Amino acid sequence: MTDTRSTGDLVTDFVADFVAEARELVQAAAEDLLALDGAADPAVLNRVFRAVHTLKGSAALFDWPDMLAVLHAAEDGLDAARAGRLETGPGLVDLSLAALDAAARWTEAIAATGALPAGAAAESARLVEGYRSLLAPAGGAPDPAPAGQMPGRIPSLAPDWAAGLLATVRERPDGAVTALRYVPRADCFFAGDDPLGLVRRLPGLLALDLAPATPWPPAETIDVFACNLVVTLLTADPPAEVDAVFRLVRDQVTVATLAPSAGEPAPDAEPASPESTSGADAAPRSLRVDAGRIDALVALADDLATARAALGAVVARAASGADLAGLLPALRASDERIGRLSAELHREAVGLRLQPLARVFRRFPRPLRDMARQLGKEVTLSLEGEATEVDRDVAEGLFEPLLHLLRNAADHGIESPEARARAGKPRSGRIVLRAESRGERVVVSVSDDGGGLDPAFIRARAAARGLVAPAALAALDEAGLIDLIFAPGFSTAAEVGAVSGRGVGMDAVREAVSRLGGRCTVESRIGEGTTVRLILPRAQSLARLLLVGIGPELYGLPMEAVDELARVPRARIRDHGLGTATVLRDRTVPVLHLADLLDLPRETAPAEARLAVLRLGDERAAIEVDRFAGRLDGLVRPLPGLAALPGLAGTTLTGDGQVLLVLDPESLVGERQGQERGEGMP
Amino acid sequence: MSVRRDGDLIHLEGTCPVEEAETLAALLLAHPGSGVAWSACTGLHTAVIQVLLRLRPSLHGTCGDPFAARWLAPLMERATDTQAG
Repeated sequence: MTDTRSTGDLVTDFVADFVAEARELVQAAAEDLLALDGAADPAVLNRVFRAVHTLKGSAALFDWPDMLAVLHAAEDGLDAARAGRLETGPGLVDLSLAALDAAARWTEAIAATGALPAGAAAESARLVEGYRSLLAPAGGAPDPAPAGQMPGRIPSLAPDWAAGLLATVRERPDGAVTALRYVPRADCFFAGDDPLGLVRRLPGLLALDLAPATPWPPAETIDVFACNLVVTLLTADPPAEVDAVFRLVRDQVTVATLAPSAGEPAPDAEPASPESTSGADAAPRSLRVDAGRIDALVALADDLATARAALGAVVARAASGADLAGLLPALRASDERIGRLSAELHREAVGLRLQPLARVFRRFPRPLRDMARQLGKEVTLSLEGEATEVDRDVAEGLFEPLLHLLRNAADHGIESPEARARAGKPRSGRIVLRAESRGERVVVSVSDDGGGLDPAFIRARAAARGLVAPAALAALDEAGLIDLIFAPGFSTAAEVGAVSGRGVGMDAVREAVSRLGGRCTVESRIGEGTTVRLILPRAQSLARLLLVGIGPELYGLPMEAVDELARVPRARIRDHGLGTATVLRDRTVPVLHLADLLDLPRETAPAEARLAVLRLGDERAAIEVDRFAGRLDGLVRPLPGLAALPGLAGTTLTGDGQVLLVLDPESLVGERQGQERGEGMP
Repeated sequence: MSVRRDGDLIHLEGTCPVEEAETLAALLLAHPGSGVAWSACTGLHTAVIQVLLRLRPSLHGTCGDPFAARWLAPLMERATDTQAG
């Protein structure tokens, strides 16, 4: 499993992000640590722990094992202090300050050279050893759970949530008992979690209870894929092992160690740290912004104030009785200027929310490698287009659907090394996770070079599960069949595997993507592989729209897709059998009538056709409309209800409050051309 | 298929993964009063267990999954009792 290195620029950006974040975290943690020296305040201790934990998460994205080892050891030490297994004294504070000091120096070295300085390995080893001896002193005395000491004694300080369960345990083991309360996230099934599957891994389980987290909804409205459970348990397994089992869901777990020894019960009812694998979501929710962007915003705000002042002068002239018609040019200029500035201001502000997909993509290589190993497969993951920027919410919402697609690709797509060898393919399968910008949209795709989807199998499965009426099923072409994998209740795994079988179907992927305002398509060739594409909005966008009319109706066409506007004598639009086309600038351009694309009646055909020439990727296509009706800047809102209707991007409001439908050139023309190609095939 | 309906009984067989939660819930809602036979079941995803907890069908036999038989069966009985009381 390798992770194709992206461009040098991107890695540099990433390191710069890390450096900025590390400086903040180290400084904040060091200040908190100094405060801890005076009095052991659990809230402060938690903050230090979280800072170190976040820093560790971010450092783990890079290949700096010595730094990671120190942060990991510090995290363990601070965690033990939080749980009351270790005293928050000068020993821990001094050592942690030394660790932070090292992290700070290494961060600066990384900023300067991109690598850890010489001697880091030795220093790292010393610090790690320091934590180790703190946690297990040479004398070996304060083991948190000394065996044989007052067996069976129930500590008085069990947290409320564990008390009831504790009363049901008849025979307590000699050692410490760990009480754990686990409230899985409602969407945890989508992430592939099986909460009770974790509980199974505790051989020392003493008691277990399950209860609804919120009162059960009426049976008819049950959402089987929303987890609504609280798991409470007691176990005799050593705390470290319990911790290891629940390490991926720490943010959902509360742990208390019920030590049998007197005076040392340490119920830590604080929820464990919020687990954030992406360094971006550090505990205090802040946004790191390039100073240049702020400067640009301030400059724009200044320009806007100036423009308003100019408008104010015009208003004053109007108030003093100047001829209104004479003021029109000044008003137009003012309107144009303020319009341009407000659009720019909006674009800059929205830009603050953009982040590179690298933050999401970088989280995949490790889980995929683990998955591949578990499946006994060889898989290479390549990341492409990591620098593509999308809205932060879209980026965050993509993690789970993409993880699911990658799991599917590894589990069902890529064949076993032996089967691949038999098919004449390299033993190692290849999965490509790619992002690319297409205007206001970002296309994220997961491709594998595996076995592809078998339409015959899909047909049989859809029939067996009754997903489609038999007649409709018989009428489906190959693409339609393949699209059925998105139908609720469909799962292509003939046998449910340990990896993707934990997830839910592709319908969950489609749903997650449509919640983000996007859509998905799949393309597959048997024996050659499968590509799933997610087409997503790049940002909440203030789009410049060209207003076009069909009959009495107006529609918005995004200007960025419009290459040029042309008026062409109808005689120059010819029917070539496969559709109409004309020649513009010596190139043949297909001509489609918007009324046909939208299934509207066509008005009369004027002698001169009005064409909006659209650029779609490398191709151009002309759309004929009845009239051009001006321009409009508007915030385009996707309409979830219309998501299934190709050709529409969403709606916007016109100046007088009317709702205007905004067209999506890509799907508007793409669908039609696809259909025509399809019809043309034998 | 690891969820199969046969008369008044819904059989859970083999491993019941997360997807089967939907099938099981649909069958239980469509045929209220159906019992669930789980002795041939060797593993259940939490989502499937949640359906059993929520819809409380009567359970027939001892679950073939030792973990479920030891830890979950008593919870299901209790849930049914609470409902009855």
